[in-house]
Amino acid sequence: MRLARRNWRETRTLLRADYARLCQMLSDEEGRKPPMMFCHPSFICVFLHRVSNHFQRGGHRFTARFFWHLNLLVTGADISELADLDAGLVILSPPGTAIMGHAGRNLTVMPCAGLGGETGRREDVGGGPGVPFLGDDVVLEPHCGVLGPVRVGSRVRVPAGIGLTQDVPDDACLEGPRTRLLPRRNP
Amino acid sequence: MSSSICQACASSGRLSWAGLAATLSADVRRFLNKSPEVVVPDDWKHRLSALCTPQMMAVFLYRASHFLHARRWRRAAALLARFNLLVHKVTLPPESCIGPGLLLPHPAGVTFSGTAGRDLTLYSLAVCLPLPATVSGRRAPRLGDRVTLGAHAAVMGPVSIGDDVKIAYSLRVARDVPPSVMVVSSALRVAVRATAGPVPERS
Repeated sequence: MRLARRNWRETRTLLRADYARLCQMLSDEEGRKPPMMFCHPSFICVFLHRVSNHFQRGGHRFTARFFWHLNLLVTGADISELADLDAGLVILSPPGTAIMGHAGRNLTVMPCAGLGGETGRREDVGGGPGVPFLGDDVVLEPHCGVLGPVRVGSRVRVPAGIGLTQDVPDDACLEGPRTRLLPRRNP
Repeated sequence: MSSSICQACASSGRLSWAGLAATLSADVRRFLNKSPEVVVPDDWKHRLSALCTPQMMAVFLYRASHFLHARRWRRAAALLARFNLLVHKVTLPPESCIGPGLLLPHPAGVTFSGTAGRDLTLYSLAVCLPLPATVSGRRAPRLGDRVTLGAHAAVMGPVSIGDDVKIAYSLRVARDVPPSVMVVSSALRVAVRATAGPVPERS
């Protein structure tokens, strides 16, 4: 899939939106944000992905791959340089996160969640061959995965520990596996 | 200590240098005695070799960053926590307060934001975080003493987990859990196969 070229001004605008949303999410009740947010791992991870994606869109594939690799080494997040992610991206805990495909505005990725392909299906639903297409305001809870060429609508929260392999409409409510409590004999 | 911003640490005396050393000593002792079958001598050589393992180095860096944070050295604490993430890929923000005896058998990918009591065990890729994702006081999960989070388990939101609770593999817990229980999934069912013999290959 060929991504549209993007200039530095557009990349900076996206980064500002990402930073503002991350600050908003991590601020406490009184609106104070944690110290040194510019080197917060979540922001470093998104920053390196935006730079990598910028070079990929400009046709500099080797440089794009270098920044992808740097992101993997520094933060532990595997965000493909081909991923098309709109403004307001927040990755709460980068280690173990893997992302490919397309996502709309305000995607929230919790620890160890991911979007990806490798399911054997190669259809293109808008995000590239074999990878998912997500709408706006989607939340991926910890350890969930959206796998294969599926379309997930806007304002959907994918529960923790779920492998989602089917289309989901807008505003759908998904339910994860239930839990049971057993008494412990020898705590 | 009046200058502290972690009341739990201040009330239990963990903010002095001696308190930090005692907490680290409890972590090392728990790491050495994690398996009841293997008896490890409690001498300085084994303690030093334990401190050189990635598991204990991740815990040590977290302890140091929380110590600095509680003494209001917030920037130095954040820097140390980010160094911990860079080296060990473990997300333990300095605001999190964990009691002595923390055990991280496989540190990479572990995320913990909240408060916990003594002898917490976090297996690989265990996640504990507030919703929305801040570490500010009452919205973070509160774990009791001797809690175990299994691999890939997730505790989310302003929930309270009692003492002696064990959360099994790959579970999402977003409600309060009483003490001395084991949380398991009700999704897994074991069915009896109709025919005996080897398991057929999947096509």
